[in-house]
Amino acid sequence: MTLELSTQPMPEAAGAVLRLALPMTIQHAAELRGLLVDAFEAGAGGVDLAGVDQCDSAGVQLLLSAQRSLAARGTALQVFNAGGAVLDILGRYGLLPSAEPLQGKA
Amino acid sequence: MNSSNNDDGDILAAACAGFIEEARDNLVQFEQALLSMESDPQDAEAVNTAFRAAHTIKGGAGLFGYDAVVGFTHEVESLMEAMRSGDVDVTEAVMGVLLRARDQMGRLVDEIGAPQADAELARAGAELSGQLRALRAAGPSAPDGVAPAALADAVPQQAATWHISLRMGGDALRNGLDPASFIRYLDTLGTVRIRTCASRVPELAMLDAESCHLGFEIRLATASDRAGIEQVFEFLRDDCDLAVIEPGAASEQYEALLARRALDEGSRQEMLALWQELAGPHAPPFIERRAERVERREASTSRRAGDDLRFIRVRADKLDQLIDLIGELVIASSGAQLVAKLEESPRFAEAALRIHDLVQSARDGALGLRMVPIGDIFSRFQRVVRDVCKQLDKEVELVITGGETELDKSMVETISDPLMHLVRNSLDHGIEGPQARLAAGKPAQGRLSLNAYHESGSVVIEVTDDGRGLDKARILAKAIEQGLVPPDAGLDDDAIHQLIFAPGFSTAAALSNLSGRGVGMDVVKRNIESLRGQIRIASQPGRGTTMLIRLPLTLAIIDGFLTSVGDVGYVLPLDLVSECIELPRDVAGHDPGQVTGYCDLRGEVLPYLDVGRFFKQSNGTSQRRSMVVVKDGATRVGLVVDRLLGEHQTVIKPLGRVFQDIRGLSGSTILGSGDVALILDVPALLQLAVDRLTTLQKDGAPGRCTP
Repeated sequence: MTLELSTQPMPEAAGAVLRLALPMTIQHAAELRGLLVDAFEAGAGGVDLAGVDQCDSAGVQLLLSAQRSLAARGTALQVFNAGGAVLDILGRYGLLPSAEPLQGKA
Repeated sequence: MNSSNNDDGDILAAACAGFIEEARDNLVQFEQALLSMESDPQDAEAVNTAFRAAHTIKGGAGLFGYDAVVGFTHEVESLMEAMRSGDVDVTEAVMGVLLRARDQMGRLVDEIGAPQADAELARAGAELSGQLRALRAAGPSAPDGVAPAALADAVPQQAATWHISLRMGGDALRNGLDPASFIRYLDTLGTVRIRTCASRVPELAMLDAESCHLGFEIRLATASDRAGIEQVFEFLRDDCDLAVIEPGAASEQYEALLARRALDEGSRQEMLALWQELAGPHAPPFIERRAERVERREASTSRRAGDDLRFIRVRADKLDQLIDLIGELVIASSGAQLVAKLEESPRFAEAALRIHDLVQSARDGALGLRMVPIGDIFSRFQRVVRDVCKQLDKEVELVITGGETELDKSMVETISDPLMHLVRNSLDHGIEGPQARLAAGKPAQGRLSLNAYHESGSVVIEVTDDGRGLDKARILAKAIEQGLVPPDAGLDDDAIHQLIFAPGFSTAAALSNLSGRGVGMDVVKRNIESLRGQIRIASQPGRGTTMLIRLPLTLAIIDGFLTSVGDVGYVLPLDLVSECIELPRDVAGHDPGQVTGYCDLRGEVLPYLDVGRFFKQSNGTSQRRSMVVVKDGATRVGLVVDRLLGEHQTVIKPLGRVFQDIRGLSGSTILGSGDVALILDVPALLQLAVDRLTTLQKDGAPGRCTP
């Protein structure tokens, strides 16, 4: 399983997108979940992570859960503006589409 | 609204108290781990233990928002992490700073709840933080220093590919354990390929965002062995389900893993897909895609390691309440037995007996809950010995035995200070410096041993040193000078030793060049006596001193032996009773005023005390009186009573304030009939009997009763 995501700015054509501006960490996980649930209820199909500068396993789990929720409705989760912190942990977890051999760093 | 706020406040206060207690436990572990690192720098397990302790303290403090603790502990943890990965060596400088950091953490924890932060403490913290950071930056002292712990003993091998399957436990994130950091650490072992298994992550609507539902399938190419790999996940042990499959394993092992991980066809296919991805297009698939279903294992068989070591933290007052209740149950059960006897109903009696037996087991179980091994406080002294030795330039080896001996938790707390004093005393005054020891023909390194064991219903704790022993002449001279004893007292060795416990007897002036620590030996003795315990000294000049502390096993319920004089019941601790005999003819009491004397027990001299006369009861001339021979350590004394009523489970109740000063009684208890019986304080009675006889002899009156 991988996450389709983009480091590019959000295209004009994108549908309703939830802009997250909290660290995606365990401290904010419950709050973020609430935001995501509300946004998807309101028809959003993607998240904009421009304001996210931290991400831990709880954050990854939220993205995976969001992806699953949208997949159940027949749409794919769109992720925009994923920054270094998000890419780093997704890469480490082998969740990026280009996840080819992750070399261990000494 | 208000009351709910108060409730929240109470809950928070209780949780906070729990954190502080836990933090102190963790600090003790931290310190012990540091000390074992100091004695064996290669001890990877000790580094891990210290790291885990620091991590736990930081996590707990973070939950409660104690930023000072978090900030400082973070620095400690970072240095420990660097040590774990071999970037920083265990050197004397590092250990010194870490031990000071441990004290700083202790002070920060102590400061919690103080109205305002201590500026001096913060300043010390900042300085230590700087030192910790500097050590971390300095890196290993030699480039070829200690290899990463996990690789230390590994014979260089061809890197082989291991398979690791990890399923996180729900509480991992809440416990501050992020799998990312462990996977990052795995990188130090070799090359990692990883896929995340998200099949257990529910949809948002069902998601508890703070629970961890992640799983990982990992291929690790490394020269490390299984122990090395499992060690990486050691801190996660309680919070994950880990499976490690060695290189070249048969496909049955993968089948078994698959059966354990995938409970339905969907997740089975997903796992297989992940594994296929991991294996890569060129590598041969390490598992054949088989169509047939593998027999599924019960989910419960994937037991998490460490389950058998789990503990529950229970508030002490809840336990006390339970023990109180059991105490009432014991009394009620005795009452039921009594009624059964009066009713003369054998069936009732049998039922009552059965209940009595069960209550007895429940009592032992409940009291056992309060017991903790004494080793916990013994090991605290490692640090004391280390520090005092450095300070006094002495070499002392601390030998601990019997650490598994169990003791009531409340006693452990009370006994810790007196023990500390005794240990310091031995180090200060007992054990000589290396030069003096060599001159006396002893090894330069002194030896201090702490030992504990159970003996007839008591716990005995010994503090033994091989130092110079007590200087009797000096103690006696000092005592005479201070007017504690008359110059012509003619004391024996034991009595002279006991003098150092006299209030006002200044050991500091008489025996030591090191200033006292605010607690005199009289306070030590008082503390021990407040636990119904005793302290004795055995000392040989030039050979050493042993302080022997004897404490009752429990403060709540004991097995008693019920006797009576007139209509007053007296209970003796059953463990102290050695035998019951008919009153010897020569004691049969001619003189009603005679309280104590000697009699002949099978050719041996036995001092005795008439309990009824001692407590000045008017009657006490029953037809057939008996003597209960009690032993306390080496001393034996006969206690004369009217009747023997047999074994009795005794719930110890304190004596009322009015009776508190009566010597020879340690408490009261309630009998099945509802009557009150008195519990005899046997050691005190023995002392009183012996004192009385000694005085009688001095006055020239015959202590012995003429036949």
